[in-house]
Amino acid sequence: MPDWTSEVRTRLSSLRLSATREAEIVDELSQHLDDRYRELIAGGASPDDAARLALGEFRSGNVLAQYMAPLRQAHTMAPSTPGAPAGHLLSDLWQDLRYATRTLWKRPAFASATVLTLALGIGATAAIFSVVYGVLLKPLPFHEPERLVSVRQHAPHGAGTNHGPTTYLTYRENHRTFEAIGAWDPTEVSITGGGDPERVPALLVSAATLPLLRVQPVLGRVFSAEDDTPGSPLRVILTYGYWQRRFSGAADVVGQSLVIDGRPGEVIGVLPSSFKFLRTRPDVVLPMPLDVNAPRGISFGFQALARLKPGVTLAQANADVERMISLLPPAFARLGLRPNVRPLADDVIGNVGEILWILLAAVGVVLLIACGNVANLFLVRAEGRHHEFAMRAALGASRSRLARALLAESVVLALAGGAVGVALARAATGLLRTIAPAELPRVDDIGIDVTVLLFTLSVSVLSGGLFGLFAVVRFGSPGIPALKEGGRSASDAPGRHRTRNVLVVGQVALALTLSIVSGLMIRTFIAMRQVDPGFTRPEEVQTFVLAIPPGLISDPQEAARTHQRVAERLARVPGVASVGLSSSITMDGEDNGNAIEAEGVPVPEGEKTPLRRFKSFAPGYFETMGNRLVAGRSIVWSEIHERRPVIVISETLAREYWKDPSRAIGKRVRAMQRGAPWREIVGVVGDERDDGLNHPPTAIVYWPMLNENYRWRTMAYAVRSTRVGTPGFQRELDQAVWSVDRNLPLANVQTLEAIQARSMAQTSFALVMLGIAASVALVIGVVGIYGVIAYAATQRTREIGVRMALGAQSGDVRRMFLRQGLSLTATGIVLGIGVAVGLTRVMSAFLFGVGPMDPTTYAAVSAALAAVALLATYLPARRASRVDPIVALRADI
Amino acid sequence: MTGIDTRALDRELKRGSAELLILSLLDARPRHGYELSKLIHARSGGQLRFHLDSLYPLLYRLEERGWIKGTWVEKPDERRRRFYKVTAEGRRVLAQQRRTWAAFVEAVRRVTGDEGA
Repeated sequence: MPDWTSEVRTRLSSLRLSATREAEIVDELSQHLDDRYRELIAGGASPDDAARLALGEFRSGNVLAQYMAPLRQAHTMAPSTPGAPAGHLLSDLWQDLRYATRTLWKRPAFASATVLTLALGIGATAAIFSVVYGVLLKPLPFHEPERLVSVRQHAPHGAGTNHGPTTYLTYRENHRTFEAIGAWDPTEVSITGGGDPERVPALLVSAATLPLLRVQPVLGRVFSAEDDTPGSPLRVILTYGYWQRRFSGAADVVGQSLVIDGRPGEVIGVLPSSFKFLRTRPDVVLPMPLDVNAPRGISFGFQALARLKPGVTLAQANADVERMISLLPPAFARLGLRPNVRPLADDVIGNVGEILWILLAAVGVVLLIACGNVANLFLVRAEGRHHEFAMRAALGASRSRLARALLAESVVLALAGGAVGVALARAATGLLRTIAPAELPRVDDIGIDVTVLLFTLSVSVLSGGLFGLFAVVRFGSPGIPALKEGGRSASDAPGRHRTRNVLVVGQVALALTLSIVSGLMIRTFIAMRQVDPGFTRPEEVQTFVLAIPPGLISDPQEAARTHQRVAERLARVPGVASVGLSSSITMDGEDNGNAIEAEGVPVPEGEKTPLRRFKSFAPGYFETMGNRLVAGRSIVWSEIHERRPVIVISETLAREYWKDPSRAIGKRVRAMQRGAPWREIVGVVGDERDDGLNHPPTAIVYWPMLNENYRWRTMAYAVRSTRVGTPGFQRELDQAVWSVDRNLPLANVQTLEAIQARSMAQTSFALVMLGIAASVALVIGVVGIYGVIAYAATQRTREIGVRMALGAQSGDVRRMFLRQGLSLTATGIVLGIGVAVGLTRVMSAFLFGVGPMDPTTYAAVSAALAAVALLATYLPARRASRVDPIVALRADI
Repeated sequence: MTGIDTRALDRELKRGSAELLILSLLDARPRHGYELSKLIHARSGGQLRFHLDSLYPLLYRLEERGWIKGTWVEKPDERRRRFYKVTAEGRRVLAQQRRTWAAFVEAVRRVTGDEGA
């Protein structure tokens, strides 16, 4: 006799029978199968056939469990008496989750569609959150970072936001709320002797700065007050990376010597690898000697930070600084300084905060759309189980118990989605770190850590709750009518369509909003690409910086001649078309400004003369960059060496003073300074977009190198050649430079194209991110429309059959569904435009060459969305119109 | 066609006429599930056949309603068997259902007359 136990038990597994009851049923059914088996054997069947035929009593689809499910005994494991002790809550919850998992496991198509949709939404949200957290929210890597502040001033006239010796020393001597105050200043230094000369980023700090950050060196010591005294020997602390790179991590590095800007400096310590100082990436840290006894003038050039005494608030610190401002020399009074003490972390973040929050909001919207889709899927599924819920309610399951069961399913789905989402986010953050713009600080801090995981977990649970709630509201309290309907016709209730339609309209509206925002970014990007940046074919221009520190060549004339020799030597490198030099290359971020005076153009009384950007240049610069001469000519080397009073200005500046650039030639200008000599304008050049493509052209004054007002010894070289980027080319340029002087350090080697790309980085980053968010939103949204129409079509198969039997043409049916889909889409579009109009005002700051309400973008995006929605509607509509009336009608019998 | 198709029978199960069959058969004497299925098959002239997976849920349902009552009967060298008998409540329901059914059959007979039957 075969043992039927496992056959029977499997079929009962989905029910929640008590163990005793299950054993009874197994016995009873086994007895039945025994009887049948014996009868078949007696009738002449082989044992195998008999067993097979006996088991034929069970039909496919587990009819047994289906018929058993409504019975009370099938639920005895989950007693849910109203008012049952609260102690059951946790075990009930566990049971709900397990039951939910089991139920979902049997619906792999539904479960995987849901999980994937959610994974997209949750993954995107987690990825952007990891950026927001790493960049904006994560505490600085110092001890008690909340007590660290940046000490600055508000300066209504522009001068005095940072520090000079006067403000800094006054604060250092008089503060009451700080534990300590320290100065810092990022700079670059040339390091020579032992290996190739190099120009490296450096950080100047006062003796107090590292101790107040609580930075402990891994080797040696940090600066003492003695190192900080003017006239004391130069000492240097290496950062971990530089120690590894230049000294291969040698343990005996302390005490060794480096030549820094021509001065020998002794290495006294090495910082830990964890040392990260705000946005700087220094290789070496140098002391910042300030002479306490030197006359204190009005100058500003470095930053200060402080550690607050325990318990001191920002307001108290600001009040303290306000008091100290009044202690400054009387000459400071007209600057109108006001205190600006703020958390140090704010200094790191800069202006990227806003765009990151916008991105987080954007992916949040994607997540909402995903939830909308899942809610729809979930509703469909819940509808199919309406009868089951009604039966469970009739058998005594409380309303909250049913709601919990539904919510458990949605949360299980969301958690699975979250798990897949974390995997997606991990991949995405890796990608993000590579495409993130240089302006994005703390990129190394971006990653999936515990906080991000906890965030993802809460987002998953929340979104599960959110889409589960729709089903709970619709089906959580089925009444007796559902039973009377025999579980069949409940799906025609009007409320069902309403919920689903509302969801789809919301999805379309959100997808449209995101698409409009990303459309505006695309227009901005295109507008920026069309701006003339003041140079041509940037991919053919190699740039680098060459410093001639006074320690190397002290005579300025000699330094200028050295630059000329380097330029001429570079021009002889094969394939080089031209060489030019200037104190700064377009868009490289250098900003040195001062006011000028034009002869015969009166300075308006009481008005602040605008600052002009000053650049020092030498022949070949405009030609190499590909900038055009609007009028006049450039200069020649002899004019530099002979210090001829000539000057070149940019077109914008020429137009401002003389309307027509050609009229500027021969006019004279001078620096706004007592006794400054006049200089004759010999040329007007095309504008450079020095502040970025999305800013108006900069008014620039080009001083010949070696002038009395803008002395500059570090020059940026531009070399135009079609060989740029080919292997060995840069090495040839290096050799050319060193053939003039072996000790000249090259720094910041980069192509003009890279500089330009960086200036567009924030826009392109936002563009790429918003573009991805919008595409995902669009896809999910359109799938949503398709799902609703397709489902409506299957639900109405019988109605379609009747209509067609009564003479409706397939065209009529198609139109009926198209109308439904299009009216949903249209409502969504109208809503979405409304939301976009409200939102894009926030976006204005990031737009260029396009208004936040640009009709073209709105129309194009709406049309594109409508077109895709039309397709998503048309496919199920066409299928519905091909229904055979006979088949459709029979389907209901 | 041998017998009424099982789908139709399932629908009957839902609507309650199958309950009448069971209650009627148990009214005479207690029986076990296999015996019930054999009896229904035989007495309907092979027209009605209960599958195991619909018969037992029906029995359990009637039991939960208190219309029938199952008792285990043990015999040596055999599996225990569960015999069902009609309760007092079940008898009352059965009487009611028989009346309704008779009235229904009579009504259908009157409408259809002899021609179609």
